[in-house]
Amino acid sequence: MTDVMDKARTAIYAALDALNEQLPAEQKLKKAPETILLGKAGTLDSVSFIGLIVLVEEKCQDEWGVSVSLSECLTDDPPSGVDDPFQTVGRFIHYLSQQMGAGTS
Amino acid sequence: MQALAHKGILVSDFTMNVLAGYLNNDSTSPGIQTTIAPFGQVMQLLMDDEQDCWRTTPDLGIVWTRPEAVIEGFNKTLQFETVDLNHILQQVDAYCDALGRLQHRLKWVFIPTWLLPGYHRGLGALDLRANGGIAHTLMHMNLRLAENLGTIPNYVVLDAQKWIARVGQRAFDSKLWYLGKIPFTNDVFKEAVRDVKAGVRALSGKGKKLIILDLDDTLWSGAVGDLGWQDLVLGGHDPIGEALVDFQKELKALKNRGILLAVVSKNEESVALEAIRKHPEMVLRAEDLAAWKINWQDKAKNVMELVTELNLGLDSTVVIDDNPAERARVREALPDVFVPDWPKDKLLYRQALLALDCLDSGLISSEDRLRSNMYKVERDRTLLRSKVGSVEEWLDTLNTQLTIELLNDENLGRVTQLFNKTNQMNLSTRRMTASELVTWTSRESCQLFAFRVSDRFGDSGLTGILSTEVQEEALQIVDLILSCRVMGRHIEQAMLSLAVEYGRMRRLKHLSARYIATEKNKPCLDFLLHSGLTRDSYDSFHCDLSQPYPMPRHIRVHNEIQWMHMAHSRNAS
Repeated sequence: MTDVMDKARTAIYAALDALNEQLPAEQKLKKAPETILLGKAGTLDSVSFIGLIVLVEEKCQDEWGVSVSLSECLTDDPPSGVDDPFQTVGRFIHYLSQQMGAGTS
Repeated sequence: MQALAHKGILVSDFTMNVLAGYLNNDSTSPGIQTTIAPFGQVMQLLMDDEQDCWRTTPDLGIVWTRPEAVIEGFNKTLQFETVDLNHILQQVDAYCDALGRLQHRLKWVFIPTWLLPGYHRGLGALDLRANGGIAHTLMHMNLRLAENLGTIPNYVVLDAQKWIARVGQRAFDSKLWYLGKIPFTNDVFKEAVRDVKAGVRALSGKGKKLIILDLDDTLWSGAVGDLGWQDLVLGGHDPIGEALVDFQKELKALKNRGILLAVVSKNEESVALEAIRKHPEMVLRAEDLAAWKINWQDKAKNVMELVTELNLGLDSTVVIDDNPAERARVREALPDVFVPDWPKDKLLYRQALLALDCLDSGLISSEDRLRSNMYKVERDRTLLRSKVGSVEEWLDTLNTQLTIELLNDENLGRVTQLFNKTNQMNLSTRRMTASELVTWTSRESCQLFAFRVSDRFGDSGLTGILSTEVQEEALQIVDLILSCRVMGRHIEQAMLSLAVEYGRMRRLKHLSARYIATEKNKPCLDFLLHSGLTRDSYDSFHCDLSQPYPMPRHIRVHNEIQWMHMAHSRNAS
């Protein structure tokens, strides 16, 4: 589990690094579990969020051969509020690790 | 260090947020801050000057469209419906007409060529055949786009296919398209940013003008001081030798389009020059070099001195050296000089050179092609100067001639280049596009004269500009521009004499000039201070037009009567 969490963290942090290249200094996202991504206090717009999750999916496939489909969350009824797995970086890492655990090589 | 921002507008039928993000936050020069025009309203925005997005007064635009969205015939071709290619090209012409509406609104317009995802096989092996081949149709559409828009001076058609080639298989992502109407992955947008910025630098005259090269393990393999020129690895049936010859060929090609080459090397000068002159596989010879500093002094000091001797700026210079320590030394001592990281593997030198985006040029004029030769000619002049007694005697021997032209279609490109590239002898440092120059000179009160300079050593080309504006009873010199390669020969005095003559012909009473100071144009102030003009304030000078201004005795004006009549009749009409 720890190994999967580490991989999930690596994938998300790498995607945040890529996303931060498009953001001004004052809006760059900190690579920390408490960083808010979505919701009322979130700073990501929809285009940036799409870019983030597609990058994470690619990273999982390229690095570890694990196929995850995060983008399906955007087309189904998206979770919100306390159930939102994308609300913070920490929740995202946890959610992704679950998906990776269930994902196929 | 990022220069002052340009304001850009992004017009597209797909999501441009990623491109905007990269442009707005990229630290390389120049800075560009963009706004995104309303999504999917390309034709409306091109045709309607009153749209809100134009109120941001951008100075550059990027119009990036999908071919199937703006060319109906191509959309049908994608469905394998039969469409006549000429009909499609007529639609491309109409689209170009709409794009052309931006030429007076924006300083520069960038149009990436049309693309199709690499995974789209079209007709497969037959796709480049006429009669419905998708790749064939798209190729013709892009060629038509480039031909139509290439005639508009401030339009740049960017080859987007190169971006796809550099990014590779991951250039397109269907997920990004269906989720967010983003057709490309991030890396494609990054390549676009790189080329747009390189284009702006080139069009602003900020492309690099000089490459300073090391010798050992840069132009050849081995140390000439240790091995002797006969044992250097260069050319022959050797992969590294062949690669270095090709590297030198590309450098020579750059020289052919106006980039100066020079050498700074830690070696015995005689030993190094012998190698340059005698090695049978050397592509670059001494006459290809604008200058060299071959000695044991500090590299940065040599670079500084060489650049100063050539009358160029450090920010116009690239230094290529295989040695990371020497590169670090130059970077640290001369931060304005561009020192690219250089591959260890000599087999990659040519590729690294061709990939540099700092050498882009907005225009290649005949003066550019002859630039390196002009430095050789200048060495000959300097040699003559050392043999005669005084500067005046030397000038007398040159047989300097000026030929004057009004602004015309043939010289517009070169005149525009001079406006945007000349820093030292430049009165007001106005930066103008070709369109802006044509508009300005069409005003009745304005006139622009271009000067060609030649002497017994050769033709320096179109190297001087004088522009004037009549203001009540005064003739205002708006621009006085002289290329650094002809400075020091009293050409500027000759131009001033002709300005006075022109003002007297027009029966005006005064001539005035306003100097606008920049970091680099102090030579122009020095000229004004010694010109005999009366100084009214720090930046204002004038003279009475009741008397002529003496023409330097060693300069002959070729067609003085002719150009005066031309200018006068043009203004009188």
